[in-house]
This record gives sequence, structure tokens and C-alpha cells, in this order.
Amino acid sequence: MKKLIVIIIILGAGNFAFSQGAVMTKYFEKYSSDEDFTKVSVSSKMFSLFTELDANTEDEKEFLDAISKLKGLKAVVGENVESSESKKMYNSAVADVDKEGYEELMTITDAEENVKISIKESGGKIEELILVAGGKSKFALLSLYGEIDLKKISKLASSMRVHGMQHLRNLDDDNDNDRN
Amino acid sequence: MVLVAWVDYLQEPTFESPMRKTLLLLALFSSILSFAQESILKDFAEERRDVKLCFYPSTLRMINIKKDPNYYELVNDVEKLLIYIMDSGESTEWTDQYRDLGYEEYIAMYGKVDLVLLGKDEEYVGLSGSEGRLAAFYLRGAIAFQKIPELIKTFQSGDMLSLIKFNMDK
Repeated sequence: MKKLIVIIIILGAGNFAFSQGAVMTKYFEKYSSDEDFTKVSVSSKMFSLFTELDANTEDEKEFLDAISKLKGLKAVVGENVESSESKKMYNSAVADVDKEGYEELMTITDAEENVKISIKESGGKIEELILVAGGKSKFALLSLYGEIDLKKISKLASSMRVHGMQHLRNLDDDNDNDRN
Repeated sequence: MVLVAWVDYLQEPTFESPMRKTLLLLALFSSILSFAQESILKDFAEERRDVKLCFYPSTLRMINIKKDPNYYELVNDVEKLLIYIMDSGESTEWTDQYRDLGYEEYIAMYGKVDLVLLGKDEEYVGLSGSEGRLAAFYLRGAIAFQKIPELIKTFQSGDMLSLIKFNMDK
């Protein structure tokens, strides 16, 4: 009986872990052989290397602190996507994110680009942040996972040159507004 | 053949200490294993390569013409660095073989530009490629990662003897 409970717990944990990255996995597989889409995967091993760097300023210290708690980053970025296709992809990705139970954090809609940032929390901590962006000729799906501090995310956004991450800078302004 | 000779040698009466035998066998097998891991890249790259650069501690120090201390710190514990530059090649084929050996992924990027860095213990392999050109490397030893940003500045300022450029210009 005990064995059975243990097996059920292990299987349950496995399914939970899988469902965390289900949206990203789907898009990685879908565009794996399409050269027009750049697939980026950064592991916790890479982030751990940053902890060896020396911080010279307070900003750098905050950046290294934020990055050391991340477990990974994945992104699928498409440039030169047809406008109609980009819109379809954006809507489809947003629907997939909503279906997986992510909570909406921020939406930006303007003439150039639509952006939706969503999070998944566990035990009061943000464990995954997912960003969907669709513009006139661009599409980006980006997932950050690990222990995420929204106040420090803007520091990452300023330092990482991955399309879509620039929108995360808005989170800092949003937090400041919330506090005031 | 080499292995058979080693085993025969170890079975000679002069090698009576079991500890000595064990240590020698361990050293032998670890060097064979290390060679095998390096050979995955070699097998892939040797036929396709335009440029092959092989650095050992002495040659790594030699290219530091301005004697930058950061560079010395970076490469101090590097035992070997192999760099291949080639025209083309399916990058996933040989990197997957390293993954099968337990090399963990640090970063992977595929698209118009490919970039991969894998590592296991103190061995690293990686590639960077775009528009039909591919650079791949194998590194054995430890790298002082905190020195990389300063080192990039040094390379950009042209203080380092550019062996790659020198070879490409030939």
C-alpha cells in the first residue's frame, strides 16, 4: 500500500513538473526545424556561472542576485513573420497560456505590438513568468522559471538581449506605481 | 593494442602492490575515457575543417602578447583547448552524442544563429555557427568565468595575438 502511495506521488510530481513547461515545450517542438524561429534555452548551470562574477555596482549586485535564483530561461522568437500569421500566433499562444492556468500580470496593447505577461505561483512565490508578444512581423514566447522576484526582473530585462524581454522593464514601473 | 601492452606490463612480477596496480589502471582508463570524449568532436570536425587550433598551457600563455593578468587567470587551469572552424555540418548530431554521455546544457540556441555550450565536470564543448560557418571547441580544464568579461574587452582592443585571424588569412 505504502509503495502504491509513493508511486502515485512520484507520478503526480512528474506530471506537475511537466505541466509547468507544457506551453514552452509545445512551441519548442513546433518550431524545432524552422530556421526563421530562434529557439533559446538557458539552464540553471549557466545562471550559476554568473554568481562567480564580481559585482562592481549596486545594479550589478541586484542583477546577479536575481539571476542566481533562476532555474532557466526558454524563448522562441520569430522575426519576419507575416503580420496576419503573427496575430494568429499571438492569440493562439495567449489561449494556450490561459488554458494552463497562468495568472495574468500585465497586458500591453499598442499599434506596434501586443504583449501579455502571465505568472504561475506556488506557495506565494512566483515560479514561472511567461511572456507572449506579437507584433507586425514578430512573435516571441519567453518563459523564465525558478524563484522570481518581480522587483528585480527589470534588471534582467535591461541586461539580456532577448527579444521580448524589454517589455519586462515595465514591471518595475508597475511595482513602483503599486507601492505609491 | 596499447591496452593489451599495458595489461601485460601490469601483470609483471615487479608490480606486486595491488594499490599501485589499481591506481595505474584508473589513470589509464581515465585517459582513454577523456580521449574518447574529445574524439566525438574530432570525428565530426576533422573531415570538414578549414582551421584547426590546438592549445596547451604553454601555447595559451604564448598568445597573451600584452601579458594581461586577467587572461593568465582565465587560462591558468586549462589543460587543452581545441578549436575547429569549418564550412558546414549538422551541429545537433555530435552535440547529442555529448548529451548522451551526461554533458549538461548551459545554453542552446538554434535558428539562423546556432550557439551551444555543454559541460561535464571540467570538460566543455561548444559551437557557434551562422550562414554555413561553424566554430566548435573542446576544452579540458577549469575556466575562471569571472574573468571572461574583462578578457572580451582585451580581445576587442586587439591586445591578443589573433591566431584564428592569422590562420584564416593564410
